[in-house]
Amino acid sequence: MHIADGILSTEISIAADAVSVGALYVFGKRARTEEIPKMGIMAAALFVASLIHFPVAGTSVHLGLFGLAGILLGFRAIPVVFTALLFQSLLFQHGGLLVLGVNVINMSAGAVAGYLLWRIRLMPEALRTFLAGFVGIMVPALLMALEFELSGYGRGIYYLMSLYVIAAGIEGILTFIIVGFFRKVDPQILPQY
Amino acid sequence: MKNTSIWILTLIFMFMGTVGMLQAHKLEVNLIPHPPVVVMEAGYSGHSHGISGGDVFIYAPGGAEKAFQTGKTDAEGKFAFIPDQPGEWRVVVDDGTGHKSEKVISLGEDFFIPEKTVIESGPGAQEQEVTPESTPAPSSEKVPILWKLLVGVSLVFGIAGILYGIKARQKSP
Repeated sequence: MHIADGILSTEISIAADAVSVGALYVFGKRARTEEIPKMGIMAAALFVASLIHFPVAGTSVHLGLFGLAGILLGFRAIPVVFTALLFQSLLFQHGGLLVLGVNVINMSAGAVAGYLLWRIRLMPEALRTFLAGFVGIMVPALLMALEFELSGYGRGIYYLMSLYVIAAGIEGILTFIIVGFFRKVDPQILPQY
Repeated sequence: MKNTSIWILTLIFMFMGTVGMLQAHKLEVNLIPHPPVVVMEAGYSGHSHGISGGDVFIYAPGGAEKAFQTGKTDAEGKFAFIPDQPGEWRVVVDDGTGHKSEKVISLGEDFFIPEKTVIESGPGAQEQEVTPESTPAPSSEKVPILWKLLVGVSLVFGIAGILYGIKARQKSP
């Protein structure tokens, strides 16, 4: 899911970098003091999560925890995703540095989608939680496929979505378990919308 | 008379057979140049396996009496050495049971030219000399993934801590 350098055009990459730095400033600046420790822990969790791989259909997929970040932090997930992806790129070469902005936009979109979905109170919390984790993976995957198509790589990447469906399912279950644990142990961690 | 002829023929065949057996125990040495190394294989003729633990004496060109290198063959009867000059190198192998063999290999200047390898394909491909200095560091020298993980987590917590401190200071009167 992490796009590497040299795949997308430089113009798109730089434009996305500018947008992601702007989002980092806007949503980072407005963060309240008491939110910062939670953001730090979540950034560390996102940073580590990409190293947890699952073998699926001859390849492997890894965790993202973007939906969980969206549930816990809302729009504050954007600077968190930025920080995690920056260090993943620098230390593990997961995703390119030039296309960091593109990756931040893709995965932050997953977090924000998860956050918006989780706020829909019409659905039971268990379903909302699972779906938040699910879209946290599927939205970045679909955006990535769209960007590949716009860059002239064709629609082949869409056929890989089936792999991401499995990863998103695992992520949804994991998000459901973690949120359930928080609800049981310390409900104050979960935001009250 | 007839019996005598049969005995003579039998003895001749037995002698021929003995010669064949003796030839089967001849120690053979094979030298294979593989720059920058020369590989020596020692074994008995007619046998697929080499002689292990045989004494090996390598003599540098110029008729040196003192061996350039000595050692023993490995389990497969092999031994390798790195020559340091062109010329005729003499290799002597002794299996310690009375079999001894000697072979000479002539090494030209081209044997000592560093091997070149193509490191990039396509237009503008470049050749690079493979020398011990240019050989990539073994993977064991790379930073372990756990260290990278700890560095990343530490940096994230460090940044969060600094931001928390700044925010808290701004908040306090």
